Amino acid sequence: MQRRTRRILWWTGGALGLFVAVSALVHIPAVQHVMGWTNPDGSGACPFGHGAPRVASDTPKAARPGPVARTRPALGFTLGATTRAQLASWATQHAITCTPRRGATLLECLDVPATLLAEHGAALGGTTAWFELDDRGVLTTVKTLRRATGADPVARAFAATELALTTRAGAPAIADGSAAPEVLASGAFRQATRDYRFADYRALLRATNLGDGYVLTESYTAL
Amino acid sequence: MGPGASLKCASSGKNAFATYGADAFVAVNKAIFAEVTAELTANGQTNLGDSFSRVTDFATFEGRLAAFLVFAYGGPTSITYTDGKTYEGVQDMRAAHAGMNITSAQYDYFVANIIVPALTKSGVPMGDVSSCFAPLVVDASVKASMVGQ
Ligand code: HEM
Repeated sequence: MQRRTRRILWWTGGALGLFVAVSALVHIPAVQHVMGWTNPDGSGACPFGHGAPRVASDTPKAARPGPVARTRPALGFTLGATTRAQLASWATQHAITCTPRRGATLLECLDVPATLLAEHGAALGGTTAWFELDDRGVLTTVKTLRRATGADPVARAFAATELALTTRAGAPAIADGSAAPEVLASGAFRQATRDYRFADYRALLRATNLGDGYVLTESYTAL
Repeated sequence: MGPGASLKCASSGKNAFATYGADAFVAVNKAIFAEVTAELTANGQTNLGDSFSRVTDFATFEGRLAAFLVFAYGGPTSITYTDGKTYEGVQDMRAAHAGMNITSAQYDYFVANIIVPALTKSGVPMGDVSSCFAPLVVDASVKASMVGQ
């Protein structure tokens, strides 16, 4: 073997050895805990992201700094607890068509009847709902889009939802724009936003004039 | 001329590119990407992730979107973006969104939660958002070119 080849082999072997040693080290529980590489349940996590399941917190606990929400309203679903099986039976029971997307971690449900998503007081039809599930098949996010031809029903739905969220979760961190029907109707892309940000919960509510109609969009996420 | 070149802004009587210029379009484009990132991370990715998980080159995507917006709203057919590269603005939206099966509701959600906040947060006054930006995005044929492809 030539000297040059031997030197390359030596360095390659050394680098590989070092990588294996570091990889082993970062998977030792004591090291993981010192470095803060832990899963939500407190078990050690791989810092490279392998084998770290994406899991919704089922109990309101401070995942981030700041106050937690009083409760985590999500249109009658329970973030961190409602399961894929429960969603499937809900869809079957009400004859709703839901299409799995992005593997099975996402369900898109079309034409959901207004009464089924009226838990916050917004009874608007023309609804699409999206449900996002974590690796265990537990609900992490609910999003909806509801459409109406006039500003009035969207303004009413916005006001009812704002009141429900403020009462049940707490005050919004950001409140932009008015959802009064005459304001919404004054031009395409007029918009009102209420953004609720807590350590364990985020809700985002918007009323928007899309030019060819009005939409209410909602997003509820367990953090 | 791009499809939105004839839209006149309420503030100036000129189209959006003539009114705001390249820098403002770069700012709006960056704001769109900031909103997409926020949607994909802080707020669940339910309604977008299906499509965006296939993007491998966000830098090129960003440059191409900027070039498209500039051309669509009355600017030149190509631009040099902030990365120093030149991007072509004349693009086929049908081809760009082929295979994504974007639904009408996804499109509306995207407009309401990404496009509108990006425009308003970039400081475009509401009167101009309504007069010289919105009509192109909500145009039925433009929407049809991206939905259901
Ligand atoms: C106002 C509406 C929209 C406009 C103006 C728009 C514009 C564009 C443009 C210019 C490109 C770059 C094309 C290319 O690189 O060849 C693009 C790509 C893309 N669009 Fe859209 N789009 C819109 C709506 C949407 C929606 C609603 C979604 C998904 C929910 C979406 C998902 C994507 C994705 C994932 C790509 C990247 C494709 C890739 O890099 O493989 N777009 N879009």
